[in-house]
Amino acid sequence: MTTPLAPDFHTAEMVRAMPDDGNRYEVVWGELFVTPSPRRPHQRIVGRLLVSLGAYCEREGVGEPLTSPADISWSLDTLVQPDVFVLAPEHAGDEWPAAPRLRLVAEVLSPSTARRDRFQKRKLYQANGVEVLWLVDPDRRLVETWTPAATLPVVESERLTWQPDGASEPLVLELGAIFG
Amino acid sequence: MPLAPEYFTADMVRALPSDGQRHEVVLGELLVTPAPGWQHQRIVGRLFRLLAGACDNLGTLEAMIAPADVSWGDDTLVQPDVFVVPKELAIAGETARAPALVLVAEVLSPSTARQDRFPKRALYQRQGVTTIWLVDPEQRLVEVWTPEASRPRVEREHVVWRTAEAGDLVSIDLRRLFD
Repeated sequence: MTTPLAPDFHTAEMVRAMPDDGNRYEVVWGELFVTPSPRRPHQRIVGRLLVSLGAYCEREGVGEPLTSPADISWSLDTLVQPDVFVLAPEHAGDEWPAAPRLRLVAEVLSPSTARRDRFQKRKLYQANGVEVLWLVDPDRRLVETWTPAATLPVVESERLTWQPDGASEPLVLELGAIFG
Repeated sequence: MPLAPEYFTADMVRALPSDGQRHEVVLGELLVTPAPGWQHQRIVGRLFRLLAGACDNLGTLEAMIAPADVSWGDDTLVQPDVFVVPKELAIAGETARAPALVLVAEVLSPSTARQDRFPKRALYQRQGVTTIWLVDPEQRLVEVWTPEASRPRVEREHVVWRTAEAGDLVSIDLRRLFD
């Protein structure tokens, strides 16, 4: 690399080379984010979302739902690990696709990650055409839903409805069941 | 539908009390900055004089200095340290919709480096600011960003401001800028 890197500026390659120390490393437009292992209630919600999405996506054939750790990158200055996401059906195979098309991303907020989820990562997902983003707020028991062109979220406190193109019927998630 | 209180709008920021802090909002994210220090302002002043001189020679551009509001939409209102706009835009003022900035220079300080380097820099790129300078007095360098760049070019000796129309407008000696 001939261009000297600037202070504080990280790349996807730098993040891939980080030690496997139990932290989650991500980079959004050059900004490094380090997150310790999530707490159990966070993972409980991640698990419930994956179970619901798994049954729905298999029935409807609208993509492959997965959880992180993952390698989602759209450019050399970006690599993220969304809590839950749905890869579009064209991304078959066993490798992480370059510049993937994501039909859905869900990030479960925690006090230490809420700001980056709401701002840096939310903007990244919007800029890269993630069809629907759910920011799941367990403290307030609500979900902010974002679409690519939105400047403010739509806030749901009862249920989430998701019907991607190609699906015959919507997925309806009661938030009472998600938050427990 | 309740609005999540974490998100701010340009109007909410305009309505905040004047408490000596700089309030900005970048795509809904509120950024609050205390009054700058003397060294920051010395460099801002020098940059402004150099850029204003180049603009005066050219005649079609004008240099501006903070605090001056720039807004590209309901969820964004920023006050760049120094920026350059076409003269007609400078006359139209802060009511201009979707202002096209020719250059933005942000002088970093420990409390603002993160927000200048990441959310504000990414905003300026998205809004097509032709030249973005992140001036780092501690490291004595300038990061030069353009709208399409995914990494900065780092200048440690000189930084040259050029436009496609007018060519080289001014060359700034960084040693003299930072001393």
